[in-house]
Amino acid sequence: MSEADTIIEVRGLVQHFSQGRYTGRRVVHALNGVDISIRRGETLGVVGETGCGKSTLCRAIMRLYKPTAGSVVFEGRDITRLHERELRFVRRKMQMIFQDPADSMNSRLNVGYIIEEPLVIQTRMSAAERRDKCLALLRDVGLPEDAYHRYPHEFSGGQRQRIAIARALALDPEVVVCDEPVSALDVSVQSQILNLLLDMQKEHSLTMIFISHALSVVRHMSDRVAVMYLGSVMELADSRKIYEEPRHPYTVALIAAIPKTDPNKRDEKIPFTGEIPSPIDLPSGCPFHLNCPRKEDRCERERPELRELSPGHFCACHFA
Amino acid sequence: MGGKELLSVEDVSVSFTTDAGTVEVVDRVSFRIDEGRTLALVGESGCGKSVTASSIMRLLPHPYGKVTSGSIRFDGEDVLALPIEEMYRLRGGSISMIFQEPMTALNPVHTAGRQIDEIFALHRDDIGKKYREEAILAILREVEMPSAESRVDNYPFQLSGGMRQRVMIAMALAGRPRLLIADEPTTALDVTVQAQILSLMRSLQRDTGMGLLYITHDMGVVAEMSDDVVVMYAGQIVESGPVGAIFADPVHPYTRGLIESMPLLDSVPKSHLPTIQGQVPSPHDYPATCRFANRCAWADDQCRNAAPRLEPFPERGGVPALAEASAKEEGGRMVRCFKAGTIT
Repeated sequence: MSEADTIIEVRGLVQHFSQGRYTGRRVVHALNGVDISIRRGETLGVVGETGCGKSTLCRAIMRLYKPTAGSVVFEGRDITRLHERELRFVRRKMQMIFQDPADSMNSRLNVGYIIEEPLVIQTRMSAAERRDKCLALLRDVGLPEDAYHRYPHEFSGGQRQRIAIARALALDPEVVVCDEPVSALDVSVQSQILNLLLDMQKEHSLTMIFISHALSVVRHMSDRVAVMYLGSVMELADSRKIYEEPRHPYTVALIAAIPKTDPNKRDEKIPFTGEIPSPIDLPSGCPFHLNCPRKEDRCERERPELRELSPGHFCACHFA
Repeated sequence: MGGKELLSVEDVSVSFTTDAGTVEVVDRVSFRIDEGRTLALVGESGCGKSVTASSIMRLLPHPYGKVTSGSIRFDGEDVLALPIEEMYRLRGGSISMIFQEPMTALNPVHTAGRQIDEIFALHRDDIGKKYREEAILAILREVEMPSAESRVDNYPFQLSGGMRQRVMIAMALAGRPRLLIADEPTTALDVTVQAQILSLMRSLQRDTGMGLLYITHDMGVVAEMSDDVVVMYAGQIVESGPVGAIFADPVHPYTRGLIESMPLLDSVPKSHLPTIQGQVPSPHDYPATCRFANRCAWADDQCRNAAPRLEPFPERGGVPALAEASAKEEGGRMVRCFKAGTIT
């Protein structure tokens, strides 16, 4: 892959939040130096457990936060220090789809307005043009045209997620960030939405960032997968590779924890125990060493770098 | 089958009274659980699986929800006919329940230890007051609570999701239940924590020999946990049988769709997944015909005009009554589909 194919370049991204105004200030280390580059047209999957920083990473990339350190370069332009006014072009090119479409839509607005609002803000289209665009989008995502005048509560979860997808596509974005887009949906509807996302990506040649804690879903949707733990990327590789030849002990543990879909292959595995350390008091050295089965003294002192083991396969472990 | 029959649910129907009239949300559901066995009740939201569980505990919202027909027998006793005082003894004692979201199921203003203590006070006369503190610690250790000694005095908000679920399980076990009803206990948890909780429940079941009714929509968890499976769709059982048979050869198109639409770890990335078209009908307009017909790729005129019955599969010897008896005996398979066995 040449440099020109890179659409987003993240370098040493650090994101801290301060907490506790009255009981003594504490710093939550949400991201601790993340390096990742995202290629145009690919889907990057991000997996990890609750609190590992996967949502923070995406929001920092979209510049919904001001990163503490490090940089985000979008289409060759450093957007890390831009002011809100200058960010307008970024907002237009990056869109987001959230987990619960009911929470991410104004229930008092009709679907037509919800989808058109980005057009009102970002473009100079006339009302008629906006309406045409909106109806075309509704068709694309498989909703009837009469949805235009209806309200979100009249739709089921899956249909609402379709509305959210239509809204995200209204401005013809380059990048769409999907934050757990199917976690709140019924099983039989999940696969419909996943298929729709795949179609939309092909049709609009989108770059996607796909966050989920469901590993099988991430594997299915992504070209490459990044595994995160405590605000750091532990492993990054092609989605097949990461599931077939995981190199990081944490990735191995994550994959072992997926319920097997074959009742005959049930095994009495020993899931790794122990709680994830708090991002307020980060452990020294490797973030995973407290729970790691392969831990040695070195892991407590030295933080492993994310290094390239084979072309395209990165891993942050001393022993990989 | 080894164990003794623990719970039998027979032809239970549940109706709710709403502004728009009475709706039947569960339609003649039957199953049984033996000691030491796990039955998974699978289905999507609104299919009636949680309502079925609530009716076993008689926790249907009063006065809107009612069991309109059928019987529920626990250990030979007719649960539906028990006086309410007896029900208090049963709930949390012989039958316990674990809920999906431990944060809303736990009381936020009491410590973990105190909430477990309440169960001991209500159901365990055999433990003297002096020994309760010890018993609480013991049961927290049993559910593998990390640093149990200090967690006893924590309030729910101070615990992580996994630890909260462990407290829930400790509470459920404190009454020494013979039947544990788990309503989506791991849906809100991370996979690693889910794996820990599942293996914990399995080992506790081995130790105590309790029966487990596991409610979930995740076919992966079903494959992992259960001995028998009951699949519900739109208030009815559409297929039931032993877990191996169901996964190896799902007969009902809905079961098949549920299993196939899960992304597998060896599928081709970014390929189209098989889907079930359309969406679950609302209880107000459940059709009088096959309830799955409008989403089914194999449906024909028969399916759109008549309602299939839940029948043993495969039919044995041509005598339906005999086949039904033998199916029940062996815990065999039951399917509600006209096309059973003919679709490939």
